[in-house]
Amino acid sequence: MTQLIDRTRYWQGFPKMPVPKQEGALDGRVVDLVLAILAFVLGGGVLLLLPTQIDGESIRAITSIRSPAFFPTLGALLMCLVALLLAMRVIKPVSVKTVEHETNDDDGAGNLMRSGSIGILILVYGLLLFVIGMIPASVLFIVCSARVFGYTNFWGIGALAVVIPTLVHFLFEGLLNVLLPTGWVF
Amino acid sequence: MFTVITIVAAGTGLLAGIFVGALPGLTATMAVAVLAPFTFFIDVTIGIPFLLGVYKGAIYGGSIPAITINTPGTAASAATAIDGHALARRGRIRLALETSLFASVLADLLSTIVLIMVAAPLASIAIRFGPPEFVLLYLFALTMIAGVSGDDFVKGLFSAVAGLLLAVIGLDPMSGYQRFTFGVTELMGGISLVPLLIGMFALSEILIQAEKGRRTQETVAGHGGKGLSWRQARALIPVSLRSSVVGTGLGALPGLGAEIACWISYGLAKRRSKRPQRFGKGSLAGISAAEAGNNAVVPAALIPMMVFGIPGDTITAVLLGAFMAHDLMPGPLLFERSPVLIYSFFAVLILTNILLIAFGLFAIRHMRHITRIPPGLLYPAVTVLCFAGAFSVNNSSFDVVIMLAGGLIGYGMRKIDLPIPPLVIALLLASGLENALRQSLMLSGGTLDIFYTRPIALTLMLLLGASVSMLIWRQWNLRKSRSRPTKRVIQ
Repeated sequence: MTQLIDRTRYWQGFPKMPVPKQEGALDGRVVDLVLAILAFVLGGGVLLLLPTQIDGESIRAITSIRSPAFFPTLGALLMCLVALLLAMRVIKPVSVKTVEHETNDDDGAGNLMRSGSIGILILVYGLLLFVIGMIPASVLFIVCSARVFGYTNFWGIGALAVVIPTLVHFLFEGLLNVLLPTGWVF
Repeated sequence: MFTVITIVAAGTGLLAGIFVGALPGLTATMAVAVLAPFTFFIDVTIGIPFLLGVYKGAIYGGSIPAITINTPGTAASAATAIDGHALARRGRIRLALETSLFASVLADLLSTIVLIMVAAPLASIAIRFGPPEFVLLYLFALTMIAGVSGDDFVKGLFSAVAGLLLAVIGLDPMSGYQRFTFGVTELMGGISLVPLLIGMFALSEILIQAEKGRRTQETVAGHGGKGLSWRQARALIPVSLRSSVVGTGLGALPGLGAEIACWISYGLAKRRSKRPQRFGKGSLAGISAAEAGNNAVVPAALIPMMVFGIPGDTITAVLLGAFMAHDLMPGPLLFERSPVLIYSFFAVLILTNILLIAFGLFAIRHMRHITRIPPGLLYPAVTVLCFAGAFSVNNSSFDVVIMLAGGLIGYGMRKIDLPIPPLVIALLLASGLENALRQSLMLSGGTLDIFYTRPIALTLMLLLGASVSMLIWRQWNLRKSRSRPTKRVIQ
């Protein structure tokens, strides 16, 4: 999903020049609310964990420059400030008036499913690396993920599944003398 | 220092960069992040020139799919697609590609000359900077990056502070106490930077691309017609020069990368043009402006990185990581400690510029076909390289975990439109900022007057104040414009 929001704004010079909206990005108060909560949790969490994670230190470390907790405390307080700013935006949002809304994204659920499948495959691949080894895990990953990406040419997938792991093996272990993860297969 | 192998490495990097840049969906940052670990195990005179070549090649390569299939290879080529593809659709694909190459080479050359002329004198000034000046410089860089990396200053701020908090994991640089390591030995050295960058930029990109699915691309067929004539090239010199100045200026400022420079250059060229109505319909000036703007950023972005150790954008952040992996600490002292090496890198930049002409012409003839490589072949291969690269940095399975976590966090950040660059750059700058801040406060006995009683510090303080005011004003304007009716097209 690509959002193009009033592209002419790019041409109005630096102050009004935003970066293109990230594809598939969510909008609005929900994001601000989630971020505000996350910022409170992060900032508050760091402050709460100070005594256990930095040898008995506390929020009072902000007054002691030599304390190892000085900078983390400062960072945590800044994060709480950001949380406050986000919370204020949730309370007083800006209303976005949209006059036209068109879409040709007819496969949103399918796309999310594909992204989720790739995510799971990547996690499984990360585990298999240390169980069966880099090369066999890579072969399996390439075969499965190419299919999920919608590529169906059997010979193409087969060639890639052989060439890429072999190349990586020779490049790292042969040329650069760097060990790759090994498992019970290879 | 400057050997045949250095030239070969730079040329290989350039070719690899053009290849990656020409593939839609593979970004320049992703290319440098994925290829960086390969260079850690080879000599610095080979590794860094290779990465500089990749950086330069990827930014140029992005224009190829922008022109041929109307899909920018990198975000920096988004403006090139407007006129480039319009011209290609009129059967003048070769003219569009050669115009882009001409503007890229010219802008790159000018920006490299500026880098060579400015870097060393600036370093000799920067060497007089003390801890308070560095605190203000780091804060200026972080504010700028947080402010302009997205269209929301508060979100940028969130990202930057999250980066600062991530950076406190590990040992305290002054006392050596453990901080937030949760008893995990691998965390004592802090978060491993390169695996995190690979995860945030490459893995998250793969997940985003997986979401997009298969898309029909508007490919332009045919031989491409006539190329760029000398007369046309001469006529494009003024617009290319103006855009080069814009790109160099923006590249030297933290946070303003090639993605922004291309749009500002394009907008400026359109405004200054005698025939602005031609823009968007295949204007050569439009292509030149966009390409000169984004390519001029490449050498210019190295100025803050090399002189102050402050990366201007995400690619230079990865490059900074590579410099550090080779025991080169960018900053004013780098010019005193390793002048030969630094000037060798400058020579590499000039050389790659000459090579870019040859490789660019080769790419115009042959490489435009690689835009047709299906994602089903591309992304699985890139994923395997990501895992191999992340593991190889420290031969550690924990780094793979960091990369996976980085990938998931990066994906989540993209989904809620939270900019990644402030987090990454804050993570890189945090250690320097903490040291400088604590040293400054120790020098002043805990008071803040050290930040405005020294002339350079006062100047930087005013600069910081101006940038914060400008960002708040910009945010105010954006919020006002959002509350007005806007036209949205969701494809």
